Amino acid sequence: MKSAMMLASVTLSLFIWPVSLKRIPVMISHFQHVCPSAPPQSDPPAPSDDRLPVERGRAGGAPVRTRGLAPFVAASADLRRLLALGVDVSGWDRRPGIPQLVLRLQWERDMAPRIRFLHDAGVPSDRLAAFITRNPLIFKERLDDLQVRVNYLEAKRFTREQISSVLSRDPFWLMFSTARIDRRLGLYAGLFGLRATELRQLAAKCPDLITSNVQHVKDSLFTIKEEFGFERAELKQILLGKPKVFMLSRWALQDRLQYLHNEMGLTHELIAESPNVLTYRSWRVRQRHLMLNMLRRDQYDRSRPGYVSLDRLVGTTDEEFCRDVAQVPVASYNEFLKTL
Amino acid sequence: MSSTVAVAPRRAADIWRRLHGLVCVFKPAGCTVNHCMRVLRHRLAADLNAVEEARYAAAVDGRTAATGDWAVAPVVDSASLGPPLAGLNPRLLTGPAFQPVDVRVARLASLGRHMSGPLLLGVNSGARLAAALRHAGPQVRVHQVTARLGLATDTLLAAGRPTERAAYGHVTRGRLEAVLSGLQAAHQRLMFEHTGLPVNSQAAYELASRGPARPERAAPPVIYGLRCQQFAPPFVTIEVHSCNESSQYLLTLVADLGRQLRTAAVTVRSRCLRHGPFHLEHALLMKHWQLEHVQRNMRQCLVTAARGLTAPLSASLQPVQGPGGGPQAAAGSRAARHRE
Repeated sequence: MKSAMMLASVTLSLFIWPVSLKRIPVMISHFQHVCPSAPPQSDPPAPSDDRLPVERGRAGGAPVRTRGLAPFVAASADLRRLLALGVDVSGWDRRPGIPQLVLRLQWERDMAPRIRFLHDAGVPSDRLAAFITRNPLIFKERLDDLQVRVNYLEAKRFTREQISSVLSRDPFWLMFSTARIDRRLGLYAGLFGLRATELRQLAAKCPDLITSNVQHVKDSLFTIKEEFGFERAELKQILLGKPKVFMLSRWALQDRLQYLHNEMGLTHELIAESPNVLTYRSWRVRQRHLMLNMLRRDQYDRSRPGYVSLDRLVGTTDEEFCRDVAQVPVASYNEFLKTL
Repeated sequence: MSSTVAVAPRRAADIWRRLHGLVCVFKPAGCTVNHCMRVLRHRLAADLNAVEEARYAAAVDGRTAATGDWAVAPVVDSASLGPPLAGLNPRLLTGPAFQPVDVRVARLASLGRHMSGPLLLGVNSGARLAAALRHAGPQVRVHQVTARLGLATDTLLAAGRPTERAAYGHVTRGRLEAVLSGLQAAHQRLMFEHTGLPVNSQAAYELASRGPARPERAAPPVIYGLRCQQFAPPFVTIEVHSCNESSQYLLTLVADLGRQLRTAAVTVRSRCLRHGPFHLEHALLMKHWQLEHVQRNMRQCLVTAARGLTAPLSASLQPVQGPGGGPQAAAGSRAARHRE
């Protein structure tokens, strides 16, 4: 049959694919620019664009315009120091202004004092690289300002551990002026009725909530409080238990609460007791719940036998869930998932 | 894995060079095919990068411990790139070697957002194979559609906004089966009309004697079999064997069915059970969309495609003759697979 022969030729051609069919992005091509034996001077002149950093460090070479920081590594000892520290500079070229800033920095004048400052303020050495990767703009801030912002935290009776937690969890905290941080803390204390201790706990646990978009948090609050009718005490419980819930997109929050409350029939108290469940995607909750429902083990009431806690429902791996909660082999669970 | 013998780490570039073929993934209900393709792209790129990272870590360990009989490869060993880069992790400078956009993923056929089931995706050069297979003619797909009688909505899905309610007490299993076989008969006539041959010609006779006609191209939908699987009013489950059908077509089919039964009907759930020779058991659950599983699945899919699409072409086109024909045919094909 004609079509059968055509199909046979299709399947035969599978086995004679050429070896290199696709551009393989190996790092070597990048390093050819760096290697002193092969300077990229033969490259055709790129169109003039002032937004791209210009390399002038190479003796005798014309300025080279580039889209990455790789060609500057051979010339810039400071950049190599950052790399040795473990800073991931690969994403910086996508952020406007960052490469220009970094290439103008000097290690002794700009970088070393601030890195030392961060370390003294409580950012552990293994978090320094991640900090700088996310926020290289810290090198632009004045040291006095940074000191004032840390002093503010001390004045607000944050413990040393809490300050360390704030700074290492949120690299952008120190970019905010003292007045702005103070306004934000006051706002959250008012919105959720937090006492000073609780506010400090919140800031230490999730400092990025304080520095994130306030309107977004207000929207999440509206969804939980007005649309789903949680009590003020429950809101506080959710906030202190899992502050990240207020940083979720409103759509996701509605979707998850809708499933947990309206379809699974969980009470507000139960959800507020384990707010962790709100950070899992609703399909994960749904899959686990339907499996338990089929086995008639979906019993989330603590006062009755066969209680399954929400944390065990979603916070476990599939193996743990099947072994401890559903008590079925993982293969059966996988088969069940294909019937959904 | 836990052996103490140093094993030469796999090279991501080697894996990448062989990463071509068809993957059969399980598309869950509630997400689009585009989303599935995006997830697969990201997972494959991330896993390839993880392989390369593991290799770098092993190379750094190997350099310090100097154990193991494999050589540190030049791509990773930045020391060989010259003194400025000695001891630095090149990934920090150039970013991950594999980006999601590098992975080419193409679909063989589509499934609607509300549908679940096996979805065939061509990866890298497998995209060409997917195109060739699509060009060779449509495959029969088997759908299991659960409908709810007595309700009509604006989206034709049970989750949509209700537009009409109707009585369904008069619908019996016999009446439903009569309507289904009427629809099936109409489609069998259509099958020959699509070939363009006069129905009482010798050519049409020869075509009919070779088995059910298959449309040449992506043309109008053709239904080969319709069978009531479960009758529990208001819910009915029907099995549809068809090709060229779209998700919208199946929704309309259910709505039409409701109209012919003198009531209304909406789709509650639509599951694809089989796409040509690819069954649910071949499909990878989303949690298994990882490099190793995908590689294994690709090998399996090649075998299945070669067997199912070349030699026993007619077997995959066997229509369901009526109630009772389906399970026997399915059991027959299962037995055939076990024999192989």
